[in-house]
Parts: sequence; structure tokens; C-alpha cells
Amino acid sequence: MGGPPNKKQKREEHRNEAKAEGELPKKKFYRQRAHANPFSDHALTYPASPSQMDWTPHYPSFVATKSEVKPESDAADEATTPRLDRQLEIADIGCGFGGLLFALAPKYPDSLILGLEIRTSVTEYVEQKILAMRAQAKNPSVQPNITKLGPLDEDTKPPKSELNEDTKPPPTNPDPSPTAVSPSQVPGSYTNISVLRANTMKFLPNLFPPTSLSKIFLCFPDPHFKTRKHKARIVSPGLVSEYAYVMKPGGVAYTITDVEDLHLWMCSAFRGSGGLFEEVPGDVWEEREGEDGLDGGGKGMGEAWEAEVREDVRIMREETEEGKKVTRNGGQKFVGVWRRVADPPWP
Amino acid sequence: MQADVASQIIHHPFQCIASLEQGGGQFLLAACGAKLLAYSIAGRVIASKWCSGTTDSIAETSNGHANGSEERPAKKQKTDNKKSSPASRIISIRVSPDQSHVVVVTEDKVVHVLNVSGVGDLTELSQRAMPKRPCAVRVMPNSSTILIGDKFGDVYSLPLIVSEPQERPAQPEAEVAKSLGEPALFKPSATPLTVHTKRNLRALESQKKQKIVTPRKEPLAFEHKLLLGHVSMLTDMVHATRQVDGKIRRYILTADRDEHIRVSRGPPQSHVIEGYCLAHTDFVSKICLIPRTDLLVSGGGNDWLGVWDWLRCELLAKVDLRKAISHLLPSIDERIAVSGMWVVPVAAQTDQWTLCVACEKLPALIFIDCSALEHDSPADAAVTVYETDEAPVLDVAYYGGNAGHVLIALDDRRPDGCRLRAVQVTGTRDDSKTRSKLDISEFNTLNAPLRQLSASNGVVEDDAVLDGFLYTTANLRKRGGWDEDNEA
Ligand SMILES: C[S@@+](CC[C@H](N)C(=O)[O-])C[C@H]1O[C@@H](n2cnc3c(N)ncnc32)[C@H](O)[C@@H]1O
Repeated sequence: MGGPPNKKQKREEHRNEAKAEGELPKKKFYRQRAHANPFSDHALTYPASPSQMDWTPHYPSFVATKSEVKPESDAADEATTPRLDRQLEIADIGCGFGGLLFALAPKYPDSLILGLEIRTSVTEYVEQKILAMRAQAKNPSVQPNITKLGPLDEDTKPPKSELNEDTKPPPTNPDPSPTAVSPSQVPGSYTNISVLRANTMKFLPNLFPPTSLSKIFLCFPDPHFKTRKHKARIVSPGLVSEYAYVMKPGGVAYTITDVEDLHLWMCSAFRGSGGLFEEVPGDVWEEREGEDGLDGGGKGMGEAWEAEVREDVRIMREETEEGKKVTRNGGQKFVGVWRRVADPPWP
Repeated sequence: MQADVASQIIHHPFQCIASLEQGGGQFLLAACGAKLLAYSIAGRVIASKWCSGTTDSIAETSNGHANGSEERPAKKQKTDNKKSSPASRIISIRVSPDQSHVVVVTEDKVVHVLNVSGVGDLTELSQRAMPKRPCAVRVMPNSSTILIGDKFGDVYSLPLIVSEPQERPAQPEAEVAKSLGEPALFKPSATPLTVHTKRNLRALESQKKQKIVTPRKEPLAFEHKLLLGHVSMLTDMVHATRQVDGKIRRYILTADRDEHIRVSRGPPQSHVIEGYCLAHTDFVSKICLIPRTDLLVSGGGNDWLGVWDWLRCELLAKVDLRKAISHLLPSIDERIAVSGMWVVPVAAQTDQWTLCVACEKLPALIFIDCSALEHDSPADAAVTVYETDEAPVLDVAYYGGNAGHVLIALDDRRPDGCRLRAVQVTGTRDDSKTRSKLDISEFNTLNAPLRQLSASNGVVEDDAVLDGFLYTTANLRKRGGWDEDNEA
């Protein structure tokens, strides 16, 4: 239910302004009840199959030119759906306010990254922020908004709960984003990230073709403590099969949570995947003394691969909104890294 | 007044039927509410009756002397399960491929396994309570495993025959489940659980045929495996095999309310998803394999049937249903909901099949020649609409192999109504414009006795209540526009 009329009105006004001006949106106008039931129908729009999904509005800088579009697809809708020049590669499942997306964007400028979020207004926030960041990156000097943003990182702010943030007067420094500070350094200019409102627990196979993703992030999923509700968890034995289905062999799924029980649950779901995933041990991705992406003794997948995994884990720990919150509150973070291996041979 | 009362008397139709061959005889299994009849087709008599409940109100001539007297209906024996369970209506009947057992699922989510004797006697062997309503039930080709897909999208496998109960295990399953972080997938997660007292165990020893009942409040307190899970209501499931390099590959195909048809490997690798057949834009309620081919037909809330190469997850064609049945729909914008699909043999032909399709509340059965689906343009396959005189089709079964007798259960609630009808698909008639049409003829020698059977088994019911029980497919449709999360 909406709050008092003036609050609701303010939200509306702000959202419309942010949209019109391409300004950075303020989180407090996009907050939403924390839990959405993954079993209910919602009013979602989704493609019947991945071939019918038009991604071009999401990634306008990566639209395939006519000659790149393969003519062989026979189905009518496949032929008419506009194409990108590459496949989506990284998915942030339950992306929330999108902290991870904005941190990953400059790291992987050539990869298309998608945040998936079930809550409407949270998705809208991320959408607005992406548009604003793109605009700023394009034309850094003309953005007065940017200069207003101080160098303050959210981590340095005093801890406060998500909820009462809504009722407080707007802070002078509403939504500082570390990456927004010096947009000229950003290689990809945020054109490689986007967000989609989706119930990933139902519609992942509608969005991604088989063996298409090389990374999946599952950061701080809602814990759903009651046993009866375990099927509502975004990592469950059944869903691990679906994650495997959309991932490339060799791809990596990352999990992180501050709830130890949930961590153990997610671990046993991945470990029990019947050989679809292999655990990447902590000594691979744990931060190392004084290293900067390079370290001796790389084994297995190779040093570069390990360094990349390490960096992904660091970003996931530090750049997600939840990760920051847990840091502020001095909580513990439990990480899991799972490598997709090829399907087992038929018996 | 009296005339009014008489006109209000309505009869319960047979909501599910199946056929079974035992001891060289053919039996029709027909569920009427909570009761199951085994009807001997040759003898034209009811061989036995079974009822899902154990209430005393159901007059069963039960006594403790289990000596296998053959004419007697299934024994009702009291277990120490404290309260007797009330009769619950039957929602599914499946016969094991070896014809020896019948799996009956009732509305109270209980899976009953019955043994069938050579003369059609039904004896209940076990009752197992599932946690969620079973929506799709199959017996695997080995006749020793049951697959159950439920309302919450999970598929479980259960042994057909429950192993003998043992002494109460040290830790009841419910406790184990509560202990944390243990998703129970891909490994057997339960031990057999004793529900009997010592005294009863002794009784059990003397009565080998004592059925095994698991407590209702503690579902899954028996051996089971969770094979796979959708986050959606499961609507249908089929098991398929393919031979590759001399080896059999097994698959499980599952359909859900969110338009998916999923192709998974069969156990023990059911966690491996081979693909999805995606094209439906409304729920998928039924899927059906076409014998001898790699074709799968799907139906649901769309106006068309999907014809798939399921191994490659490729949609080959859409068969227009609306065009075929538009003259039978009450209005042009009436939605279509496919409520049943079956493959039945063409009479007097070897390995020639026809697909039957029922739409919810539609008084007709749609026949499509399977060989037409194999042609280059399956979309043009001729559709033969067999009208069933105002009575919607509830279920279809066939018996007699090459003779190809097709039994149709109809929702005819009149006291003298025709609730079961026998027809034969007698072959194809060439129709220059629409390729071949099928000839459907009534099989009259059986229809008269079936009418008698119908009359003898009426149960007075309330029309609306009956509608609510029989017609659930259209409820799968999503109500658009509603969104609990649009408001903050
Ligand atoms: C606790 S938040 C974590 C957000 C973000 N990953 C982070 O670490 O800051 C979990 C998010 O998952 C979203 N979510 C839950 N179920 C979902 C589903 N089925 N599909 C998509 N998003 C979902 C919730 O709306 C919520 O925003």
C-alpha cells in the first residue's frame, strides 16, 4: 500500500524528474517491500523463448549491423527480432539496487551484463541510474549533478537501517556512487550493463539460451528461513539445474550471503548438483597478501583465470549494497564459487 | 414438487477411466467420486469396487478373515491410524505397464497402490501422503517406480511397492528434514517409517496383506527421491526413451503452468536439463508423445497445439484448434483450454495411431491422424471432430490392441445419461481438400452395457460442486494485470 499521499506524490515527482533530466535517481524514492513471492504470477512481461527477446533497447551500443545478422534462422519471429552483435554473458540475479552491476561494468567493458530484479521500483531505480551514468560518461562536463556528488563512499557513512532511511530528511549527499566520481576513467561508459524486471526463478530459460552465460552472481539472496519456504529460495537443488542449463561449461557461479545457514544450504545445493558444478576452493579466490592480480603457484585453471575469480569475489564482497551494509554492521560474509563443468556422460 | 426433485437428481460421471488387461480379460477401471470400479468387459459385470476412504459409513463387508475370497470387494481393514480417513475423490488412475498394479491418487494428496488379481479384484497395498497435490502421475516402464509431479513443481520418484515397515527408526524423518541446509535432492532422503504399534506389527505378520499407511500429517515419510523441480505448478509429465549407440537413454518431459515444457534426463540424471520446448504464450496443460516418432504434441491455453521435435526442442508446427472447433464454441471469443490428450490405436491396423484431444467443457473429442503429423506440414493435418451430444469429454482410454476400442468418459449427469461411450477409429477416409479424415463409429455392442453401468453408479451431487471438481484446467490461466508488488 502506498504511504501518506504526500510521500507517494514525492516519489512520483522525483521519479518523473529523474527520468526527464537523466539525473541520478535517489534510492529512497524507489524502496519497496522486501519480499516478493516467486510463485505468484505478478504482471511480468517476458519472451516466450530467448530467440524472441529483443535486447537492442537494453544495449543500443551493441546492436548488430545488418550484415552481422545471420539470415539462416527460419522461425518468423527469430528473423524479425533485432539482434545484438554478441550474447549476454554475465547475469546478476536479484540485483537489488545494482551496486554490483556498476562495479562490473568498467571491469568487463566488452561483456554484456544484465541485472535481474523482481521488484518493480527497485528495477526502475537501476534503470534510471544506468541511463544517468551513461549520460554522464558521455558528457562529463555538462553534468552538474556529478559535481554535487562528493567523494564519500557509502561504506564510510554511519550504519543505518534501510527502512528508517526513508523517514529521515534527505541527506545532503543522497546517493554517492564511487564509480560516478571520475566518469572519464570508465572504459565501457555503462553501455554494457542493463537491468530487467524478471522473476528469475521461473523465467531464466525464457531469457537465456542454453550454455550462453559465463558468469552468474547470486548475491545476498533473501534467506527465507522457514523450512516450509525453502522452495522460495533463489538457490535450490531444482534451480541449480537451471543455472547449469544457461551456463557455459567453464563458467562460474558466485554465491555470497551473511547468513551462515543459507550459505550451507547453497553449498549443498551446488555440491549435490550431480556433477554439474565443481567447487572452486577458497585458496583460489581468497584475497592474498600484497597481490595485484598476479601471484605465483597458479594451478588448475591458470593464473589469469584465478585472478579474475579473485577480483569478482572482491567486487561481490565490496560493491553490492548488501555487502556494504554487512561491512558497516561488522557482519560476516560467506562466499561460494562454483565452476560449471560439462554435463556428465549418459549412463 | 416431485417432478422438481426428480429433475434435480443428477448423477456423478466417471471422472477418470483406464483400461487394464488381467488374466486374459479386459477390465475398465472407472472412478466415480471416491469409488473405483473394475468392470469386466467380457463378463459385462463389475468385478470389484474400491473406495478411497476407510470411514465406517462406507458399507464394506469387511472382516478380519483375509483369505483371499475372490468375489469379495477390496478388504477394508482398520489400522491403528486412529481416525479413519474420510473418502476422498479420485483425481488420477494409472495402470502399471505390466498391468499388475493400479496407482490411484485422491484429492487429499494420497497415493494409493492397488493390486489387481486375475479376476479383477482390487486390493489396496499402500497409502502414501504427498506434501503437495499431485498433478501428474506416471508409472515408469519397469513397473516398479512411480513418478509424481506436484502443484509446487517438484517431481518425486517413489517405489511402486512400499517395503515392509520396520521398527521405528531412531530419528523420524520430519526431524531430519528440519535439520538445516540439506536439500534432499538426488539421493534417497527418507527411511521407511513405522506407523504400527507392536500389537499391530504382530497382526501384520499374520496378515501378509495388511496395507501400509503412512501418516497424513507427515508427508513423504517413506522412501522417495526428489528428481527435479520447476518453480511453477506442474501440469503434465511423460517418460520417453531413445536408443543411442545401442544404449537406452531415458528422458522425463514436464510441462508447467508458466508455459514451459522441459526435457530432462531420466533418473538418475534428472538434474540435467537437455532443453526447453518454448513457444506457448499461455499455460501448457497436456503433453503427449506420438508413438514411433520423435514428436511431442502440447496443448493448453493457446488456440493451437504445438507439434515438436522434442529431442531438438524445435517447434515444427502449430495445429489450429480454434478453426476446427469454432462451430462448437458458445461465443467467438470463448477461450480454449486443452484438458486431455491421448493416443489411441486405429482399429485393425498395426501400429497406426490417432491423437485424441479434449477441451474443457467442449462436447466433442478431436481426432488427429498421427501419421499426418509426421508429414512435411503437420499444421495441415486433418482434424476430425467427433461430437458427443452435449456432454463434455472427461477422460479417454482404449483396450484390445489392434481392435482399437476407444472408451470415452462423458460428463452426462442425467439419470439415464450416457456416461461412457465406446467408439472405434475405423480408418482414414481420403478428403481431397484436407487430406485424410478419420472415420469414427460407435461400438454398439458395448454401449448398451455401459449405459447400464452408468445408471447403476449415479451419485447425487450438486451441479456447481461437480463443476468445480471436474473443470480445473481453465483456472490455470493467469489473471492479467494484477500485481501485488506494483505499490511500494
Ligand atoms: C537481499 S537483496 C540483494 C540485492 C543485491 N544482490 C545486493 O547484494 O545488494 C535480494 C534481491 O533479490 C530479489 N529477488 C528475490 N526473488 C527474486 C526473483 N525470483 N527474481 C528476481 N529477483 C528476485 C529481491 O527483490 C531483492 O532485491
